[in-house]
Amino acid sequence: MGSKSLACAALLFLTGTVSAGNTAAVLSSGGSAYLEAFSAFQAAYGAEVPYYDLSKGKADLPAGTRTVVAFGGKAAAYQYPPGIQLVYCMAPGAYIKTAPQRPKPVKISLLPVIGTIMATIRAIQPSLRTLKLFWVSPSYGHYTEEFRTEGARLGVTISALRLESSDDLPSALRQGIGGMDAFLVMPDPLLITPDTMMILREFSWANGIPFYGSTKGMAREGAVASVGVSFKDIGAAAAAAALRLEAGGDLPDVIFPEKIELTLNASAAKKCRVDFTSDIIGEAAYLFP
Amino acid sequence: MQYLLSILLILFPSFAFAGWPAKSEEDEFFSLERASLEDTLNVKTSVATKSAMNLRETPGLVAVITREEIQALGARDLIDVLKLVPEFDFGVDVQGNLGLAVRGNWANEGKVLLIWDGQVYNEPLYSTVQFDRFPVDQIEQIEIIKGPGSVVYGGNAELAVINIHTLSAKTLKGSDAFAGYGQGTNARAREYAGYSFGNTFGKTDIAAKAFLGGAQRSDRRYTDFSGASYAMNGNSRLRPENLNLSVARGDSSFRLILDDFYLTDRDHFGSVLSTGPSKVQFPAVFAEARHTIWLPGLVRLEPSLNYAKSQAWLEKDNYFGYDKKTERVTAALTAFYHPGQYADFMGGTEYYHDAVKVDDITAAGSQYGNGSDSARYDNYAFFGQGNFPLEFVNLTAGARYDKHSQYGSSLVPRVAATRLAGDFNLKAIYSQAFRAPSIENIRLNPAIKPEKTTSEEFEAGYKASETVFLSANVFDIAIKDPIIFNSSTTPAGTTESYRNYDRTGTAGFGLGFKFKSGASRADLSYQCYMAHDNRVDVYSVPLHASYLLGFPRHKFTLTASLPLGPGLSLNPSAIYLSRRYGYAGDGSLKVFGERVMTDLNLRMKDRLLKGLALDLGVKDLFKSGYSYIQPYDGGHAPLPAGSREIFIKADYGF
Repeated sequence: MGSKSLACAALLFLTGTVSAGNTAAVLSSGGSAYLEAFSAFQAAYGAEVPYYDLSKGKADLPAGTRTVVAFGGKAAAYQYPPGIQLVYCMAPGAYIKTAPQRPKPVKISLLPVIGTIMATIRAIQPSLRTLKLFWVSPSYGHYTEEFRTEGARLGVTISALRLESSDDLPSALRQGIGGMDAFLVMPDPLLITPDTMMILREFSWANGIPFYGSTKGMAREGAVASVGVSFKDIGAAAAAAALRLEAGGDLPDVIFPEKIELTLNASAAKKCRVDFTSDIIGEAAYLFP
Repeated sequence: MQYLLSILLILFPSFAFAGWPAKSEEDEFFSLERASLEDTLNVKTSVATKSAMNLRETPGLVAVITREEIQALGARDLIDVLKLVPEFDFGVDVQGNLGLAVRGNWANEGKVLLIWDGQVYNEPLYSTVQFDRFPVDQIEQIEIIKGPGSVVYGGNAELAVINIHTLSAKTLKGSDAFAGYGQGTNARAREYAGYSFGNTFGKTDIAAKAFLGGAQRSDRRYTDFSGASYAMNGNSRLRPENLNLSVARGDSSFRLILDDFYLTDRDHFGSVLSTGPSKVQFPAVFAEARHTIWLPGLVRLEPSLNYAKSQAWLEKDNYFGYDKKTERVTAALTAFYHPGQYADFMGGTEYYHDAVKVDDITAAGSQYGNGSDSARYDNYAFFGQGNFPLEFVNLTAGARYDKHSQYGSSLVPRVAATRLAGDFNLKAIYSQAFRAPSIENIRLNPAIKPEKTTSEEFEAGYKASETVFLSANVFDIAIKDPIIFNSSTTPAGTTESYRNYDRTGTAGFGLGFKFKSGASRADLSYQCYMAHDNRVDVYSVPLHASYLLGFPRHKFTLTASLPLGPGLSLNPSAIYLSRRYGYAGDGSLKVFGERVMTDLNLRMKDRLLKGLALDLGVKDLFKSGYSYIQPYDGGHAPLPAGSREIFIKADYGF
């Protein structure tokens, strides 16, 4: 077991049985992505937080719990007692609504600030004029207006297309040839699978149309670049949100973390005739050859 | 089949009763992001299908060995790597050459395809591979199909495919120089050096790799069946030389390989040569041009043209005269079509032309039909395969049809179902494959026909945790009409021929345990075979029907890497072989007891100098006394492997 896993295990042991404060954490499962975010959350939050893994049983929250920080879509959609303030993250595609009289859930987005995404993509591809967005989960429709606004500021036209299902992707890509300079794929579990990644890569590379992703994995699989947020930063943002809410502050429905994780793929860039500047390379957290 | 299913249910009772765990889209989404063991399990390989697929879903029992793993072993040659594949073993053939066995089946001639940077290294006369010739330090990755691959690769891919990629220009991004030295118990064991250069100039990738090797098979003593012996020190040289040049620009690439390999031996066909060693040489030249054409609608075409020229088994001494020049021209066109998530297709055609020319020194009996000094053959093939990701299973079906100008047609199908569900994966593969008769097979028996293998394989894997992966497989291989050499001696002389025997084959199972956490890793594997309906007398072990000659029924392999500090690792590996049987020369059988071979390699990288890796290893630490056995009754005594060897190597990338 690696040092990170050991640290997580120790952390979970320490926090899983001790009830302290008014905040609890609920994870969809013990998957390492959730654990990485939770570990960063715990480190940023400070006080020990009781932890529940829904893959092992239901979450019996301690009496007096006021805030739940949920990691994963299943944990976010879990039925919590009325009056609980929910902060949820690592739940791409999920958008939780509650009755008006209940505390408003706050989502930590897997996407960073949309203006930063657009500025970064534009810096990578200065000739960009039309960017097409693809997604399936309905919740991403909320972001299109902001993409359009930020795009217009940079002289980029946003063409947003919600697909009915990932089966529609090949035809949507084919129809898009000639009408886009690049395309951006949301971190959408209903769209992103190993198969669709292969389709996206082959389309992008065959037609020389840059494909931009939103997670490191997408760049590894063939996107020219991915502008996303690290799981650690998501955990830290969740901790900041929880602390803010507990202090009586107010937050928007969705928080877009400020700090981006930029990943570049040199082979994909070559196929799409994109030249990375030294500034962009310097900003990148990861570079796949 | 019933037998295989029984074993499967014994190994995995839960499969019969338990449902598959559901895996949500979100789990799959995040699994794309993970590293470490997940990275190892999610390695993409195209060896089984020509399209990149996840290792756990590709329709074949496939292993991928990375450069990192090869370097950590402190491998001296390709045999050091392949001997750790649990399904593989080595035996001795003739004239100092080693051959490979797959799951207990002797596969030396034409049953295992070896591809080096896209070039087929099975020489065309007998379809053998000389495993001592390859510069292992220039390898980027080895992909192995541990089962039939004829549907994609044709007539040499009957039992396994070994596909090797060397360092590319992009990987090198500069120069890499290496040199190794080994000292055996009694004498110097090896010294070799190589240099690689690669980089991108504008839009052009250029790579050049040179290698000069020098080793000896052993410093021990060979004793033939009559009791005569010779010291192998100085009489068992292995001398490979290789120059590998490649240029790629855009979607086009070109490659030229100039390769020479010779060995010396005094055991030749079994009896010790009394007046000194013979020299057997295998020079070869390969040239290739490839191009990729992208068509609208996600269609990709890959035309290629290959030329190979060789003089395999070249011998010009007073023991034996053999000089045959062969040429093969291969033209192929492969198309890939990926219309969507519901299917992808691969299909194509391949044509090759073989020509052989006999030199004067070759014995008159080695001429071709009607005393001709040359022969020509043609072969064309069509192949196709579809992959259909259905709701509960990923289905792959394909077939290949070959038509040869001498021995006619072969049609082989493959159907595979794979399933990756949560932490479980399962594969079920039914395939047929064939071995194409080689030029010399045809010369010695113009009526020879292709042998055909039918194989059933099952594999199951379970990711028990973020660091542990368990796997198991069962197999059944039936080889019909196996092509086997035989000779008969009469007062009129010795008659040599190849003929199709009735059938042979093996069945068995394997288990695997893989651990990876950060820089620590361990792989433990077990493989077991039993002869299955073997009717080839020269392979059988009388009174031990479950054995085949030369190879152990049980084999364990262990490799591990333990980080000792920044840039420093200890890498042990070990092989356990159960008892083997071989002939002892007077018609009697000899039992060769269990052996454990243990290697240890201490590797230090980037400590003294950035880019510099140093290896200090001990090979066969406990002096196992291992020998290669001839796996047929051919009159060759066991050939001693090298003694314990202290090995050092330096590799500097700059």
